[in-house]
Amino acid sequence: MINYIYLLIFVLPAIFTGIFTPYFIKLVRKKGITRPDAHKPGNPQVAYLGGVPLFLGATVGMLVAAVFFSEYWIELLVHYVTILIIFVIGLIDDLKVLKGEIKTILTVLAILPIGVGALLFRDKIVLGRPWVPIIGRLRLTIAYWLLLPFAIAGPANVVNMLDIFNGIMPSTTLLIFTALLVSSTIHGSETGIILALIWIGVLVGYIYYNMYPAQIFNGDSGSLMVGTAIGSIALLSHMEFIVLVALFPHLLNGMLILASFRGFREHREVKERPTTVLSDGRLKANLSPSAPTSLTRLILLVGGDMREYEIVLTYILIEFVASLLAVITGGFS
Amino acid sequence: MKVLKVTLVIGGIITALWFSLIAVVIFVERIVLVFIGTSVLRSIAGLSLYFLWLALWFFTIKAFINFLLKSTRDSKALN
Repeated sequence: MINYIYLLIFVLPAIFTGIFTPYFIKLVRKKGITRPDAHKPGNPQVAYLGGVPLFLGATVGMLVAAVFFSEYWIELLVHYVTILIIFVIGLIDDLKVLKGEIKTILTVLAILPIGVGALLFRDKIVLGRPWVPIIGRLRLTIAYWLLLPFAIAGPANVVNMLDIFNGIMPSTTLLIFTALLVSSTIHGSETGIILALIWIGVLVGYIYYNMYPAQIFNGDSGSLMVGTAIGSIALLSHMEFIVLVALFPHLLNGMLILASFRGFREHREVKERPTTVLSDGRLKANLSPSAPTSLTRLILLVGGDMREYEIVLTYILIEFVASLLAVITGGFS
Repeated sequence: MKVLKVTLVIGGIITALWFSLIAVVIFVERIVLVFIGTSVLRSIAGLSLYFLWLALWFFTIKAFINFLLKSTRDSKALN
């Protein structure tokens, strides 16, 4: 019986997102809410605000989970409020454009629901002591609380920073959620299993519309929120270390970008790009000494000029390696 | 072929990152936290080692990128 319910919390969000997204694409196109696709010749206009179908799909999943797993309603509520805060911040940024620093500071606030939940429901939400291989539970005390404010803001922003090509965000995060699902199953963390299944369902229903050539862009409302969901699941199920490993490609990219810009910049503020688009649609690394460094620039320096779908495929394979290492990390914990 | 080459190089870097992180975690947990008595000192020593690991990797990868940039520029200049 329980297996069918697990299936339900995966299938229903997938069906909802899969059916709702094309209608939403038509609606936003009609309203003129589109953005140019900078990596394609002619910069075609693509529907925007993909965060909306993702958020509504997650809402369906949370409601179904709240009905069938009512003993986890506190964890579900805390997770939902956390993603809601970031979804709203992302939506404001999509429609009004917030400064890079302000957006980053606002994402730090999303730790509040988890912090309050941990204070009010000490038996349900227990923070600290993440699982690590060989050691078991890590004995972080002071360091854990010092790093806690970044546990949501970190994943949210690095996932957002890597949302640069068609399909990268849903495909790489789908692998991360799968790694979380496997690790949660190994450790018997039901909170992790439920939340990971919901997000896998949402992304399975959505991914087709964002893959190359994208019919909809995720927007900050989508990428910040999905990154937040990863951070929130990590905290609620003690999988911080496993998520850290799974996010290696995102963190590497984020560090290279932050070091290049010496701080947070909104992508619309960036004057020089790490890559340039050739007339035949291929991308090449920008060789200018003043161009910012990113993981994509490194990929193009190693592999030479590549087409967008080749870069996306590379990212998926790199994330597969990181997710596999995350599962091994979870397996040995 | 290009995709495979890049995946092997960057996947290799990520695997090396993972191995070294596990080694640092084990060192901190089994040595630093056992032999240092004061909690604050333990935190400072542990955090410093993690920071050192991060800085070493960051500068190594930056140096690798700079090397690739220089060799690509040099080969373009020769052509």
